[in-house]
Amino acid sequence: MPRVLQVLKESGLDCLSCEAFNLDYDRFQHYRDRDEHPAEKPFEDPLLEQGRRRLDETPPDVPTILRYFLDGSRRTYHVGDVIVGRRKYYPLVGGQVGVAVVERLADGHVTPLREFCEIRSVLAIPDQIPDADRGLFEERVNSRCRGTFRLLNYTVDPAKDAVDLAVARIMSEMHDAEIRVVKQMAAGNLLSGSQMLVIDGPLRFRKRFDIVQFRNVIGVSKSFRPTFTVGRGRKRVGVGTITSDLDFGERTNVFRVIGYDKVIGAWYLRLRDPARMSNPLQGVVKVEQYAIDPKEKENGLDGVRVDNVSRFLLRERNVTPYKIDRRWASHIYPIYLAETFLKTSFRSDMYFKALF
Amino acid sequence: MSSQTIGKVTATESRPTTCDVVRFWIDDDVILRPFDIVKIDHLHDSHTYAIVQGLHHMTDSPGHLASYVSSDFGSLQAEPLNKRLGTTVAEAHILFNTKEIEMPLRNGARVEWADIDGIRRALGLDSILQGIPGGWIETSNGQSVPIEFDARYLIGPEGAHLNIAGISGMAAKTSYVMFLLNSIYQSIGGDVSIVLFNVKGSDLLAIDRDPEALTDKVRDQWGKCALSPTPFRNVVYLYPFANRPHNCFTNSHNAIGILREQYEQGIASNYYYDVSTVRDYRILPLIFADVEDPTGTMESVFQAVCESDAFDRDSWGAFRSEVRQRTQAGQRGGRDISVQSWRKFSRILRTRTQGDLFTEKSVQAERFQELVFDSVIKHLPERRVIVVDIEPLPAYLQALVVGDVVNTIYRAKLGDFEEDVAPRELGKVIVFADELNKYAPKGSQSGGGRALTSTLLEITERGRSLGVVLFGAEQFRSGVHDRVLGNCSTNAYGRTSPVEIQKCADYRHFPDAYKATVARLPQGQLLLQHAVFRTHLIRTRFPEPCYYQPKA
Repeated sequence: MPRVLQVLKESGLDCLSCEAFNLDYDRFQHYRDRDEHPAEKPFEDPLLEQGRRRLDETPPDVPTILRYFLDGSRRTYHVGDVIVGRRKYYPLVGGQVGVAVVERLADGHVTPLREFCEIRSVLAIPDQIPDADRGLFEERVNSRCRGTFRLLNYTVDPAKDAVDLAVARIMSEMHDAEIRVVKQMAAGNLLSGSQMLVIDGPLRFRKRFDIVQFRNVIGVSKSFRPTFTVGRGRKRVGVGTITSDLDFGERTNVFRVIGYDKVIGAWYLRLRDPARMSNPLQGVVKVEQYAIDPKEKENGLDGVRVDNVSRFLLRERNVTPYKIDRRWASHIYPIYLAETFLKTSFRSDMYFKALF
Repeated sequence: MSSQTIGKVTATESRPTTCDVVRFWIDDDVILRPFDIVKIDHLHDSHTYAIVQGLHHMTDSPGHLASYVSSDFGSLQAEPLNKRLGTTVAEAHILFNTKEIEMPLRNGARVEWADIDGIRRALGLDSILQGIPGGWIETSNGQSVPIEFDARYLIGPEGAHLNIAGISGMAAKTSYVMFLLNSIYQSIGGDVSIVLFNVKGSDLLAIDRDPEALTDKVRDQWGKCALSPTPFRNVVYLYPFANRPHNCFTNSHNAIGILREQYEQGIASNYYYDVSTVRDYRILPLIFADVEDPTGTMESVFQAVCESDAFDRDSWGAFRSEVRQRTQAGQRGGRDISVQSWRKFSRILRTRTQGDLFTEKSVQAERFQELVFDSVIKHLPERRVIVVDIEPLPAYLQALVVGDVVNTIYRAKLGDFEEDVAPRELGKVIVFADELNKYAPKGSQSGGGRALTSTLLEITERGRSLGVVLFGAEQFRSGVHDRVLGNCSTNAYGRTSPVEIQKCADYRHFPDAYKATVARLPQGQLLLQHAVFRTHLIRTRFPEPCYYQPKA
């Protein structure tokens, strides 16, 4: 079977092959909440008097409300370059994006929900190529090459690195898939107050969608921007300072942050005994939930519900991917399994690069 | 997916599948164990059968510390909400492909339980021309699969001899050999004679009598092997002669009631040794088998005694007197053999032949005296089971009797006694020797040093074509002569100690799981190796004996 670049070339795209390489190095490991604005006041009803609260985990005999776990993942590769209009030179970035949802069964085992798991191969090309041609290329690649590709266009911005833009476009495709899956789960009545979905990472999708379907969804981030400040005036303080003081089982107030066009309540919870941690922020997770009702948007998240979710989250600390993942202290094991499931379902780097 | 499916093949970069080995993960609810046989989908709609050699459970935990941390840093009370990702992976040895495809199995191939026909085919049992039931396999999914040996490879002519090793008291060695001999007798009895040596108590001295109680369980066990639970038929017993009129002129430890019945039925006799029998260069060294003779002087004495007419005496008294004369200083005929050597010979001979066993033929019929040679030559053509009781004898005389019987059979087969019996009349002869390590110890010389070892080596190396088959048993294989073991086409391994597993080279190639199994085999189970089986070892069960066994 012909390779993708060969088919594109035969279809009239002036593309050049290169030694394909993986792009998933640290440049995209910045805090995904890096664009947060400072939160001036707590966003919780009622407010915590001390700004923090010690919580006990829910007893083992109480069924957990955290039932489903979603992880999105992607792998990107610089697979070639394209010359547009005999002048401009742009990268072609291939990728695999996937979403996996796992369900925790009553016996503690975790199993993937295959109807909500999807993996697709994509190829990001510059938007200098007309949509009509993109459609043609996609059709030819899919009819002649091994595998099925979705061709995406990334918007060229001379002020930014084109590879970054292509990777961001692929990330956006992954977020679309995540939102799509949540909608399907909500439409299937799988989600409720006693059957919540935990999404890996912050709820920052930069998309327009109906957040009502996210009512029973929380985002749990293993890492967060410690320089994010809360409070106003002289009482403004960095989150890193607050969380480093948290003791095991303590959570902070909820803070109001804006994600694209949506109001989000975020709080920090220490899952592990700080005495056992190698640095003050290790073992702290950031939890997010959309403020959906007008009252919530106005007064903040319901403190009782936040406590309840936090108590169940405390129980998630065991078992842990200790030594398998450097973020083990803040990793939720079912999320880790969803991530493992996805990554082991991806085609190997060698195989994928060979397609080009 | 089939309800029989139990797992899927896993082939990884570091642990690929090969022509010989496949690994597969198994469903959490499946109970599998070493020696189970599975069927795996393969190319071109073929199926590959494989035998499980080991199992290991693995999790994603990179170390014990991760497990410790996952229990709240060592809290015994912690109840983790999540079950760690883990699976059990089986490693199996490829046996057979239905389309003779030897390509490695593919990742993700479906693994299921093999059915009875499949297991038999996989083990090569379907190609056996004349099967001898050898027990049955019990699979983890509850199937019983009858196992047969190929007669051509068990008792010749293609292969022969069986060795069985295992610690005592596990109802394995003797029980299995007795089952197998019964099985042979029931399957092809018309062509086989059997010679057994009783070495423990009176275990084998009533094998033609029904057991005290035959339970349904035992009947069912024999039924699984398609055999009838009956004791041996056509049995004769040879007891060592002793001048004990109240005990039927034997010192056997068999119950007197049983002894009397056997003599009344004419199926028992008392063997003895007269001078002319012992004065044979094949027999005399047997009495001295355990005597160190680094310079070979004793061999010269044996030669002189056997060849010189001066020693051709009718009575033991005259014979010993003749020997004693050679021990006097200045005797003639002593140029080649020193007086010291004669003295040594005389001393040992006197000590070892002073028992009742060494006597002359009496005219009294109630003594039931019969030479070993006469008994063997008489009963072999009748395809009988001959039980020779050597239990009352000391070890050096046991070696004498075993050697004498084996020599007689071997020479009869070679045609040395054509005037008494033609070799073709003898059929196949199976000799069962327990405590084989006494008769063919490891490292012993095959030359004149140990006459019995030489004879047993002859039998295991050349007996196959003659129809003389050795079934040997011992506690420890490491104690038996390598060439005797090496010539056995069938081997059985009963429970043994970890020390023996470490010490004996024959266990070294066992997979670890097999080593663990052989160290804890329960009663009534063995590992079997047979030339026809497509795998090195199978785990077999066999029925309990169905002949009379006196309570200890």
